[in-house]
Amino acid sequence: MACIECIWAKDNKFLVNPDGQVWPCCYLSNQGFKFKEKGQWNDPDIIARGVNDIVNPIMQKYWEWEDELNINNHSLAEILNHEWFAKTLPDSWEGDNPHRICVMMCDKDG
Amino acid sequence: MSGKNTMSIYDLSKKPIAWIDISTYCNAGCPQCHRTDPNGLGKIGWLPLIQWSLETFKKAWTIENLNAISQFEICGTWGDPLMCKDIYKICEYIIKESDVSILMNTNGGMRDDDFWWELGLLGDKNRMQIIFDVEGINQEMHSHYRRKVNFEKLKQNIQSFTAAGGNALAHVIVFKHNEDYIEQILDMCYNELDMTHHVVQLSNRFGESGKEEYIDEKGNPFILEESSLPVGDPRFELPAPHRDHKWWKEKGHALVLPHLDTERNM
Repeated sequence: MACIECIWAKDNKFLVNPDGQVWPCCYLSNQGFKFKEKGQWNDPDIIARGVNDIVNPIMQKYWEWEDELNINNHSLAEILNHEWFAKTLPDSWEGDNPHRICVMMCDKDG
Repeated sequence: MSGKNTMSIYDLSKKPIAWIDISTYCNAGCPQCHRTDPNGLGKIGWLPLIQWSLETFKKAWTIENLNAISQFEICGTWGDPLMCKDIYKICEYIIKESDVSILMNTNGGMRDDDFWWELGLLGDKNRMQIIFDVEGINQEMHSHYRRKVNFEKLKQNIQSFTAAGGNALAHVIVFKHNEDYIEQILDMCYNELDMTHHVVQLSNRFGESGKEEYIDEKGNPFILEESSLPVGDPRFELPAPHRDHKWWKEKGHALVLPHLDTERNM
């Protein structure tokens, strides 16, 4: 199991993309922004193929709550305390299916 | 909101740092940037053109939200923040309406020296720092990577900014073509451009070959090569050759980054 310590959270830093979406780091945000603009995050073919960067539960949950995680819609406190930042993401680091990028960038044992 | 509040991964009592991307516009065509199409160095096709206006910024970053953070890092993953038409007004709003400090990256090749003078007057040295990319001592060397950036204009802009009291950091990415000129670049940055601090780092975006082929804006092929300097080369840790020590001692250097992370404004 990976031992993930988010380096951005450790620095108490988060990111807001040009579309207003709030993300925990540039690595996930760059992917998220690209997937959204290319329409890949909800592409049935890609999802059917099980491409993990897209079907990983933290990403699918993010898109489910997309509007709630946008600074144009909600206050910063509401967003940073949102379940996605407070439970979904940190719980994924403790589970058996963390996002590939979290492992690649923030696995202390990696 | 449907997401229930539990415990954030952030310590909100310590006012987090907000990294914000407010522009996908850019005047340059840096080959290793996420924004750049390697075939012609234009914008990649899928990227929409976005720039935040003052109105948009104030709606998202209310006084309540400003008071919740300590610092903006306005980096420019997908574009240069100085390309926002309202960037001066956005900085003015942040400076006047909050205690939030601003760190902002730019290639520095856009706008005129009047703009940079006014921006230099706006920011207290401990409230705003501009991080300029400087990777050469002449046009040919600088724009081997910083494509479409006019080197003399960049220098004039930095000079206007620092002459007005602006706090300017030199960000030097090292490649094969400039690895033997780091000392000269830093000498120019401090002694000619009156910059405050510097960070020298290797590009980390090469594959195993250490060479990448591109097609430039005129349709000509060119090669970008990785530096041969080892990570521990002392040139990455060179001291500042000159600095405004009076300010440095009196005001501290609260805004100077200990390091720049590797995703920053390539």
